[in-house]
Amino acid sequence: MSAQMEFWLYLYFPQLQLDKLLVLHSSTPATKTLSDKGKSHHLDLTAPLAIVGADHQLLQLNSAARQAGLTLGMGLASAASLCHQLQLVPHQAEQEQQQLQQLAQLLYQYCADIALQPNCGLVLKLSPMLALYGGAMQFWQQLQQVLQQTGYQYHFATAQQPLVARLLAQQGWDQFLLQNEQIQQQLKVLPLQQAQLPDKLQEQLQRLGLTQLGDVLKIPQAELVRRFGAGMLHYLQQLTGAKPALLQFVQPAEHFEQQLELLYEMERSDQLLGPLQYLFGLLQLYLQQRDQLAYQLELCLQQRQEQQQQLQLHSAQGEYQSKEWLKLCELQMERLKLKKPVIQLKLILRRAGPRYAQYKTLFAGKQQLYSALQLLSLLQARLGKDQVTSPCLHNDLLPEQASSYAAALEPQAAIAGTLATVRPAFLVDPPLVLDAEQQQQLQLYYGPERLSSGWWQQQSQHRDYYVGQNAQGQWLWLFRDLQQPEQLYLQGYFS
Amino acid sequence: MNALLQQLQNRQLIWHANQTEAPYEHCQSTGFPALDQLLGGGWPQHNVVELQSHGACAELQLISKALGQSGSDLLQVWINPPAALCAEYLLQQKRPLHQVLQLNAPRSADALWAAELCLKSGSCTDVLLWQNNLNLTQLKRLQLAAAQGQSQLYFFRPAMAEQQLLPWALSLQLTPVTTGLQIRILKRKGGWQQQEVVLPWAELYPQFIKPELQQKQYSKPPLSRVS
Repeated sequence: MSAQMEFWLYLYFPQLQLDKLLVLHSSTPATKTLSDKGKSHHLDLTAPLAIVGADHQLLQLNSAARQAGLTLGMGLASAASLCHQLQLVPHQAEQEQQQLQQLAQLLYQYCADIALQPNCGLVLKLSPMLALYGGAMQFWQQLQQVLQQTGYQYHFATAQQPLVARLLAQQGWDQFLLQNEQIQQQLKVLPLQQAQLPDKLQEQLQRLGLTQLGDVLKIPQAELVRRFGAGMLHYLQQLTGAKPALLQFVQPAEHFEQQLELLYEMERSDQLLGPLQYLFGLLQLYLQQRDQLAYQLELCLQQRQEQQQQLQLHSAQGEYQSKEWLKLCELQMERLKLKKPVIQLKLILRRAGPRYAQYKTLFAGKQQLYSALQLLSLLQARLGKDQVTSPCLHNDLLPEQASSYAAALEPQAAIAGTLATVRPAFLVDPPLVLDAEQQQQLQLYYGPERLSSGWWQQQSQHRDYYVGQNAQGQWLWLFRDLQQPEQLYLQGYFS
Repeated sequence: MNALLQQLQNRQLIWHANQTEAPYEHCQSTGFPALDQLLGGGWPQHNVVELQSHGACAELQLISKALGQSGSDLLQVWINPPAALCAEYLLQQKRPLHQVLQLNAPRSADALWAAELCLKSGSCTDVLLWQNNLNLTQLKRLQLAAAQGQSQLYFFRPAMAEQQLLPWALSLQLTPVTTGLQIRILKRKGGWQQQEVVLPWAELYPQFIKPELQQKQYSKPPLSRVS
């Protein structure tokens, strides 16, 4: 095991689509509902089930189907004659590609160089990671653990060239070795049918009586190239690593947008929480990998007949944990009325930021269950964003203009000037007109205090303010407009 | 005789003068000596206090000192206040405006939920709630939340006919009379009921009622003309 040599690990996932079905159905009842649209929801995963490709060949089989005598690559007609209650699911290459992409993102946390390969494979460059993990086996154990959690079946092999690793992995060798001799030996006995040569070349070689890859490798390269042309040269170069493989490594996604198709139409918003938990789980992984917090999310509920409803989820403090987001979402869901049954969910991350350590007071002696910002998010989620406000002061002379409301908990610019001494706790806006009888019953205690709005304003006002008590003993803040001095207005309540 | 006493005691039918429920552990001074004396020290802390009144009769003035003393780095939450808050008043009370939250919850279930959440969050000091009705379970939940979050709830309720008797830590009825505000204890944990005190208006509103001015009250405002 020398550090200079490149080593590659190839992971081959033979039945991604089927495994996803199994995983989703075996987990909690809530996630049981997740699956692909169009597929009926009475799929029985313990009975024979097969994934069928476009050319009517069986591509993936569950264990019951295997027991029934079905094999991969079998035609539909013969399969049906062997096992008439076989359930069929159309193969969805796009979905598998998406799953593979997700897997690559997941493994990116453990390995820097990952490339997607055609036919459900991932190739990982091992050599740079070994120093980090302090040995190949530790690294492999870590990877195995992650792969096991996903629940997908996989085959693997290592080699110095990506092509060799692929050939061995797809053959199902399942050895994690860093000894080149053993790998080469295994390669030599590989049947030619599995060598993934171009069809024409393979046929030509077989006609020559060559059955194993080792037979081909014994022949001098120059001879082979002269006889079989550039295609053979290209293949041999990849096999021996003479030419470095052209791979496009996976980059971590810069944008989080995940969608999930529901197995059946959901009519109640509380049913959606199960599938949402899955989506928030993906979000948590995304945020954790980037050490970020999400501040704003958008949830699209795709509904029947091309309709959709959108929910904006906010967190003032920023959260990454799925359970916190689920709590916020639950509060909004309670208020939500679904117009039509939902068939698909889509979660988009709209605003995120770096995660900072949160500092809390050490000596305040208070146990905080929620910080102020967390509390704000919860309140906003249930009551609505515009029902939660903080008062603010504007630079204006008229009391009803000076006091108003602003976004909650946002520090406001200080206003210069001295504070008036007599101000009530509550303001009446617009001021109420007092009738003659009410005016008669008033007792005035304080005043007048004259407030004049600026002459530069459209309607400048001059008011004399008084404090009075009415017949019920309530303390009122009253004013007279100097333009109509007989009339008293109620501006506020002392409390 | 002893056997009979024993039996009665076992059925918890005997009241022991030495086993009265202890009054609340911590008190916070109200700032009015007469009221402190009436309440046995002041407002019970980390609990729920009920204030019954018709409104606009110095009920906030009573608690303003207690509100001012709680830490200003934590939130003060006003739930369903009867009218818009005056920012200048809050600044007079030395309360930074961004530490004040006002919640409007038209449904009473939402208001109670919000009050409970704020109380137990630990990031609020005082919660002021205006609401008409409350039942025993709801009160208990609020009390637990206040104890958990070490916060205080002031529950403002319109003065109405005697309602269901609830185990408030403290429940006061405020009635304005000519000389001042009459404060009557409706319920006080570990204390005697039916006591009252009248706080003179000049003590409650020192900023605009000067005792010497109180003599010459005038009913009509002096008219002044625009020049």
